[in-house]
Amino acid sequence: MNDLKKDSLTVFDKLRILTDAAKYDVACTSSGVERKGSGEGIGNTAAAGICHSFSADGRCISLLKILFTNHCIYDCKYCINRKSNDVERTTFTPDEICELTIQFYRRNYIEGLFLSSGIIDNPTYTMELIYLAIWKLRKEYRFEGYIHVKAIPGADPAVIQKLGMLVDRMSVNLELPTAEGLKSLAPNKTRQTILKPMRQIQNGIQNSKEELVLYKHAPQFVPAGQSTQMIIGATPESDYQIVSVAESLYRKFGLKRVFYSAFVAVNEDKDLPALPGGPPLLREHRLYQADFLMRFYGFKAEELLSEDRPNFNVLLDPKCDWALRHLEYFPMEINKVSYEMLLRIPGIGVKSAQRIVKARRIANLGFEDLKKIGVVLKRALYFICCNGRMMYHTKMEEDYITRNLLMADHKAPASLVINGQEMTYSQLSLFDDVRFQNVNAVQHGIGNDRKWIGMG
Amino acid sequence: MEKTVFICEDTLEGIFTGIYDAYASRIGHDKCELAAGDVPLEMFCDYIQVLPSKEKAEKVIRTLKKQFGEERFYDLYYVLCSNREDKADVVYKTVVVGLSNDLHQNLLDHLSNPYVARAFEIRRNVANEVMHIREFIRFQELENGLLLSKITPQNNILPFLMPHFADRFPLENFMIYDENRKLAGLHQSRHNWCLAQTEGLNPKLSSSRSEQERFYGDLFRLFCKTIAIKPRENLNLQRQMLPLRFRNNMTEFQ
Repeated sequence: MNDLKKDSLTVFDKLRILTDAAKYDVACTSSGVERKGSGEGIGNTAAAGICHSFSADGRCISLLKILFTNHCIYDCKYCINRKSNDVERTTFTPDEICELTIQFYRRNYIEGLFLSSGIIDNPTYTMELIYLAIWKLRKEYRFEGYIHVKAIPGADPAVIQKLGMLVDRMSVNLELPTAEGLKSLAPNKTRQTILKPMRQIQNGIQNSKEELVLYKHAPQFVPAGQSTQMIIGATPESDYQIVSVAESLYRKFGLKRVFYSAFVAVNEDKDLPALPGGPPLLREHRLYQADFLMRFYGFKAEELLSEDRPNFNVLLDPKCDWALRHLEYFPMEINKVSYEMLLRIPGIGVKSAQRIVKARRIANLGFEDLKKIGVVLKRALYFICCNGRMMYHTKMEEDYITRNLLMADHKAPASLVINGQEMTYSQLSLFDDVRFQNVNAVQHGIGNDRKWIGMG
Repeated sequence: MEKTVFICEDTLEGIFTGIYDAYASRIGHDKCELAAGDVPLEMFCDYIQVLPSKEKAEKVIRTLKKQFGEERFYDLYYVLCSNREDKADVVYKTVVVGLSNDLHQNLLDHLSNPYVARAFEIRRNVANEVMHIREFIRFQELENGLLLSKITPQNNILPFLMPHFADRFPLENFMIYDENRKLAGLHQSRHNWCLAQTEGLNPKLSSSRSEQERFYGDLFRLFCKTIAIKPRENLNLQRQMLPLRFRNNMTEFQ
């Protein structure tokens, strides 16, 4: 605790150190709650979330994402702030956090505050310090914008409860997809201590909703819901294991979001994998695609992957991949099939499907209309017909369609020769050595609120 | 076929009066066209200059709200705030389609109709710009405490931006200045916002930054630089999410 007092760094240095220490946390959304300003403070929130900038890695900057302190009593092997690392350490004062948040917010740099922390002394004490800072920001500085805080596993449930009444979103990091992974890399954490606050927050949200039915102006507990994140590629889990974990988190813990964080090697440790190709970004991207398919498109984890096919296809997104393995459903008649089936067509996203359903009530749709609606025809055309006709003459054959899809995305090599043998695309996905490590495709936005619906 | 063009002032009142006059003329909707602002003259056309009338415009607004609902009315409002030349005619024809097909609140769902599809497209374009500017707009604090922001939007989006920021900063004095239109959105602490047409911004006003301004600008630039993860660097993705055209007015890119 003496550390807290003898800190003589400037705000400038503290911001540099505590931003650098916080940046590996992926969640940066400001969505989930719509709240007007009270007229007596500063701030409001928008349900869809608002991004304010994008950093050089293409990730969105929505919240002032900082640690309260990077002092930590834990020694998690993947973490830059682990106790055994020799890094500059510092701690913000509550007023510094409040001033930064308010001054950034007034200039429309940010949508709110994301506050996480290393552990000083013990989880409960740390959580208390965070509570005091947030209380000050809400009550003294009258900040009504978005606040996301980390709940620290092992902290007294009473502190989590009162903090939850002040913030919009809480998250507990799952850290690693399985309990074994956690044991090997985070010796001070257990799956049980992580799931406990997650359950508490879930129950808190549920109770708060019930109270809201009775009393319209009852204060709300974590109104924007809770999220979590896990590191991908530090431990040997398969994609199938990961999506199954995510699916059960959504189902059993009522999470709003699960975030996936491609492992970035910041420490050298014999227990950590070497990743010469850089962080597994394509793999992370595929997991986000699958996550959206599960949340908005009605897919189940076992439809996307299985014990026999435990990993995603490098070349095709999970939805195309599913469609190609289920050509028996296609081509689908745009003017007839249900909304649920429309969502299964590659090239049609949630918005397009909704527009199709509304527009076809008034008049029959043709291919020209689909274009205006926003359907990605170059992908959809192999899977749909309008008024009984497909757009072009198309063979309903997996290899033929795969080749054409890849050519449309400029991903198709002229011919595929592996070990001196020409391959078909369906054979390709069986090959493990052409897996993610070697492919560095262009990534799309991660951890954002924006631009995700377009995935067809 | 000879057509009649109703030329209206490029304001809500002007265009709604145009719609009223086009209906009242009984010329037939397929022979009528609406144009807002300055239009290039064509051969074989009759031109009718529309005089903006508050009374006629209000009648049209009342009818639209009643027939299509408040939400669809605001959709059309978005269209009318765009900078597209065909916007007045698109709204006029969309209204004709909506009334003759009894579309009511489903007005913009009828995407197989070319006018509705165009209205839908323009609305989306304007709404997207509102969304982008709402994210990327930056305020600077002047010596007198006023927060000032300059924007250069394609469409006339101040009417949609001001409510958002007035709700967000109820206790601030702030001004959003649309350089393309010389239009200022003004908000005084604890008051309603308003729009004012100006002759241009007083350069003295906008150059007197507060002492803290530089400090917080530097801090935010530091934050943006530090938050990026080096092994993930992807400038293409950054450009895709935040196109260069927005960056001129943004603190972190200065």
